[in-house]
Amino acid sequence: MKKTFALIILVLSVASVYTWLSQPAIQEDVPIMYWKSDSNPQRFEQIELFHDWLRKKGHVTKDGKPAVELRLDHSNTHTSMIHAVSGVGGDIIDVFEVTRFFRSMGVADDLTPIAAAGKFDMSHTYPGLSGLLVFNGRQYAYLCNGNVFNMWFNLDTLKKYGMEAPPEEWTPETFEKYAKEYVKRANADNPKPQNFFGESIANKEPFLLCMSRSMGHDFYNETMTRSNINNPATEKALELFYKWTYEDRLFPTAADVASANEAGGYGGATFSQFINGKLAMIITGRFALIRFRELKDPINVWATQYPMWDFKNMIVAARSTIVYKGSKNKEFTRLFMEFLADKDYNEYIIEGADGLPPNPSYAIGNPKYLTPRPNEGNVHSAELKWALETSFCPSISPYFNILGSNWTIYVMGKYFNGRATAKEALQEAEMRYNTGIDDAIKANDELRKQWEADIASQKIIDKCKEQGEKIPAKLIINPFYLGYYRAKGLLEE
Amino acid sequence: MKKYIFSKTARMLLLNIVLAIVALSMVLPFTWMILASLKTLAEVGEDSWLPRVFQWGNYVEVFNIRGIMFGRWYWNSIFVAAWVTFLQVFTSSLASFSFSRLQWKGRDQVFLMYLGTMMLPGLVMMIPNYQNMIKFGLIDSYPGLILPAAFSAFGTFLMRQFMMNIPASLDEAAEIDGASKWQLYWDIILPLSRPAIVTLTIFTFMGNCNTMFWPLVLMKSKDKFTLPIGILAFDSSQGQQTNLLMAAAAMSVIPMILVFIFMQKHLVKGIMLGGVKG
Amino acid sequence: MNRKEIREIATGLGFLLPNILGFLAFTAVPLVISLVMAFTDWNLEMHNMFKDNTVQFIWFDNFIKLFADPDFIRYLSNTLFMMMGIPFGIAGSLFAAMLLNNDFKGGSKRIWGICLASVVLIISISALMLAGMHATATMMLITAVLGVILLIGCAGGQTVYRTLFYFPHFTAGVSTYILWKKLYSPENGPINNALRKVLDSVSPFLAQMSDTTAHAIANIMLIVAIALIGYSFWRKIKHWLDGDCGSFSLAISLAILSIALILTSCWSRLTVPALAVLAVAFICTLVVLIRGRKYRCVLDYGLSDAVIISGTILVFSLILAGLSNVIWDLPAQATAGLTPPKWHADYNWAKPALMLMGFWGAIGSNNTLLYLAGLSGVSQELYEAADIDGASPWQRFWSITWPQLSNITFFILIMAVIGGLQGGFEMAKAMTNGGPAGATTTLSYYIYIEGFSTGRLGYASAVSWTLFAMVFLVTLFNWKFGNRYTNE
Repeated sequence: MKKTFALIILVLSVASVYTWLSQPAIQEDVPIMYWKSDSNPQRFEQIELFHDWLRKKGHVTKDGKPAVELRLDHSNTHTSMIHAVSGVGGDIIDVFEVTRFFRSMGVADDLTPIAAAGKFDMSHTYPGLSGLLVFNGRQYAYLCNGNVFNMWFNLDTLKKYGMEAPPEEWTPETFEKYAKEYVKRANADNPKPQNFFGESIANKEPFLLCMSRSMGHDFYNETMTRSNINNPATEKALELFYKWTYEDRLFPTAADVASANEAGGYGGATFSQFINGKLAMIITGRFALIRFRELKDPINVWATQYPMWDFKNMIVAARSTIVYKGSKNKEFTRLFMEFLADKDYNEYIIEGADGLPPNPSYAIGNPKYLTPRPNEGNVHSAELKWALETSFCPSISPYFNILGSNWTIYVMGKYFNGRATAKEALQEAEMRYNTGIDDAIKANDELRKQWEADIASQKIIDKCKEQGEKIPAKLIINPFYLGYYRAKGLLEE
Repeated sequence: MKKYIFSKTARMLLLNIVLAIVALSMVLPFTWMILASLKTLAEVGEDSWLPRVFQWGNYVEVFNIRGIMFGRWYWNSIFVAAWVTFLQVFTSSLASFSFSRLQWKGRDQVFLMYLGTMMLPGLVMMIPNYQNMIKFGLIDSYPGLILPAAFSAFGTFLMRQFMMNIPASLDEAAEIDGASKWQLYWDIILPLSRPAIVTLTIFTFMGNCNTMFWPLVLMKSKDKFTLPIGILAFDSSQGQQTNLLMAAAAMSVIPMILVFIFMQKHLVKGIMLGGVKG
Repeated sequence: MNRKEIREIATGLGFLLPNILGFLAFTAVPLVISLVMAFTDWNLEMHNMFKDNTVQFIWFDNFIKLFADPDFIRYLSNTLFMMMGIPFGIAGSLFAAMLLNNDFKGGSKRIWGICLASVVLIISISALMLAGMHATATMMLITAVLGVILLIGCAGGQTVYRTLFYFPHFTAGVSTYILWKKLYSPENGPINNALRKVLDSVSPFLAQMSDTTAHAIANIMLIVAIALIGYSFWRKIKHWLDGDCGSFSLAISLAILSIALILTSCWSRLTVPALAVLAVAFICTLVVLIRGRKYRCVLDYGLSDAVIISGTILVFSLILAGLSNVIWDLPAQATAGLTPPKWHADYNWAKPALMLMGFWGAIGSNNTLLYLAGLSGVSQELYEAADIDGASPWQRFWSITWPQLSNITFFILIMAVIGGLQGGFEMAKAMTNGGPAGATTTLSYYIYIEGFSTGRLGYASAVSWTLFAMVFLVTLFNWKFGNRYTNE
């Protein structure tokens, strides 16, 4: 017994030592800074770039090593929030659309004072993003890269079926006609559609939002105090989604997606299907080129907007970075922020095509950005143009906790599964959002006071709208309505 | 008489055929898994189950995908499960010795309480446990995975059931020889409980290799994932590479099947003894 | 308490110490914390280390909110729905155990068996090849696997089959769930590839069926369902009169059967006849009850039979009702061409898909082994006596095997219910993420989402304590009625 016992202890200790030694995070003499980010292969290169940048700027230890070592933190999106509020989050945290929520939890540092000095304030990035990075006039984040998701076409696939390159802008009618024609040609000798026009739109909330906005309806009202997702424009768009997917079979259904057997790689199966011609269109941004540039035979790509009825708009989003309040490496996180705004990083993003550079001034008029390769068509210029001119940030209310379920996608699933009509689905979403807002302001006094003030301005806005008067610009918080009313001449500046 | 033998044989055969068909339905999914893992991607969705050419390279490929540290996850699973098993068997045998061989006031009440906790839904404790892990700084660490699993009421129960059957005369004889309680435990009862220990070891080890909830919420770094959450990560990032996914699944399931085939005698005994674990 | 006792307690606790520390740290203390949390408004958005807000006691607000929360009700009913598979799992493992309990050993029989099996194998393979119809490689492969199992099984007997039956349960985990996700692939998974062929060959035939025939069949199925419930009513009352069933068991059984009848009638086109049967059944019951009985027995005698048979009838009649709904407009669908279900990608099929997978795992589970042990404990004399009386196998089962196994059945049922209430998390996480549109979100998955994603810890604790209360009720039920029989 004793021998067995001793043997087991010995084996376990050896195994523990081995495990300890073989893990990458053994203490070194420089502090380690963790970066919670996604699994993009370029992150590793960006980390190297940051280390080089530190050396270049003279932030080194005595023996010439970079003063801090940057590492990736792979926790999943669910638990990263819990980690953050519990004091064990990454030093810098990438967030997609939840900047405001992270702020309201109090885990994000206020960057306003250092942003202006470090030149990463709002004047150094895309105007449409203010809704994401700024809250109550304070800036809490800066972006790693920007994105305007749009429709990318594989011109080679289109050519194969004798389709002409699509226009940059279109209405739902022209879009539907074009897509139907494509599906007809691409599945000419196959009664069961094998080649779809585009990737699944069952959870493409931004696409839906753009279509609604093109008729002047957002998911929230002018002051973000109430959801009004239940509006005729969204309903019409949602019904079109259903028709396109289940009746016209332009897009794959959930069942089609669940059945896909495809090669992996960055961007997953959808990108593979786009490359091998099973899909003519995907909804993506410049970062897709990370994958497409690896191909031996480069594909010809072309970008267009979403189909829209009237008011052309796109959605600019960002992978933005907050500095974690509980970080023990504050001065290094500042360096990282500066790095993001610096020329080296921006040029790297331009060359590596990992989205739009944080600071657009590096891209404007830069031939390296606009026309790097002949097969990449208009994707660079179009995305930059839309980001600067026609884009608004996604619809996010500061009063709604968006880390829970995404109710828009939830009700879309309900509608597509025949559990509700489009109207009922949107009613439910609106009810869900509004209940969420009620819960949030009930629990948070600070938030409630602000909400009450905003509700008061909402009343004035509603009155103006009713009486056909111009609406005072200073009352409007939702950036989309600001842009929309301005374009329609309904705004009193 | 001959006729009787014949009808009995026919009956036997019929029985065997029914059993074989049921067994077939148990085995078929695994057959498909292994065959699919040997196909090329284009063949996976085809009607035919058989690959044209066996793609053994798929199994190598699994280890080479960027961001998928399959070998490391495998090691982590075994490492964590080994520690958990060792600690659990040790603590359970101590406790069950106290519950079965020692007489003390309140023993049976405490034991009943232990039994009661077996019924508790683990989910109730998860959130506070998680908060405690944060407090003790055990998030994203191996001890955080090992410690909560190292104590089990089930193991104690199973070992106690076994130890109860060891004749009490041994204790008396040891006492006459002047052995202390520890000696009684260490030199007599523990060696005699070897069958129960083997059973519990297999149970715990296999059970722990399959746990998913706790590693899922606890682990942050990819190099510390265990196999179940590793496969989940594989599925969510590379899920449409069905052949590779099936190769990974096969590699995680086949060792269990082997363990089961070779150890089933002990397992069956354990289930009878515990009569509980669902 | 004298010195000796104290020393004994000290030694006893000493051996217990490591375990009790772990128990305190990871079970007892968290349990208390979680109970306290359930009465607070702890929300990570508001109460965390970067905020000054203090967590406040809101007492029963969480629970009040919970029962008004449509999500909670929905996820609870999802959980209960998934538990409807339990009777089938139990029946499956009993069936497997009874098959396995046969005498496989015995001289010449075995050799004969092996010879015959190989002959059957050779004949079936060559017949397949000769016929050339389905002689695809896949069919050959499956037949070959079957043949191999048969051969090994004939040679090895019980052990081999037991091992094979047990695989699914033993390997259950993320890997097998992922495997099933791929098996269920709607467009090109092996299950639907096979189903599609079957449906394609069947649908022209079905399309010819007239609407009247379809409706007739549908109605017959419903009537069968209702008749089945009616029969169970009568059977239970007869048991009660014969003193095989206590009054409490009768009440429970009748309650479950009434629920079955009401649900079936609500779900079908035959509301009036069903309610008529219910009324008649109740009147008869009342009459019988008032007249009283000759043989008396304890209140909860025959409880496991009452719960399990009535539960099975409930599930079975619901299935019949559902099938009849399907058959009602089958001809119209068949004309359009039948398509296999979309399984986990479809709202209505997602739960059945998971239940089917669960059934696959449940046939050869621990329950089978427990039943096997139970069967070997049934006295052979009883069977011999039955043989002398000339009882049919059916009678033998219902009058000997089933009552003799009732303790084990009851125990298995309780364990399955406790497990079922807490279950569903791993499947949902690995296969569906709780979708489509929340169809497979069970309570455990809901707790995970609320606690680890939304961060509403107080609310999540309240949900988990509600779950705990349900489990506790079942456990109480077990203590009250189970112990008497299960203490072996």
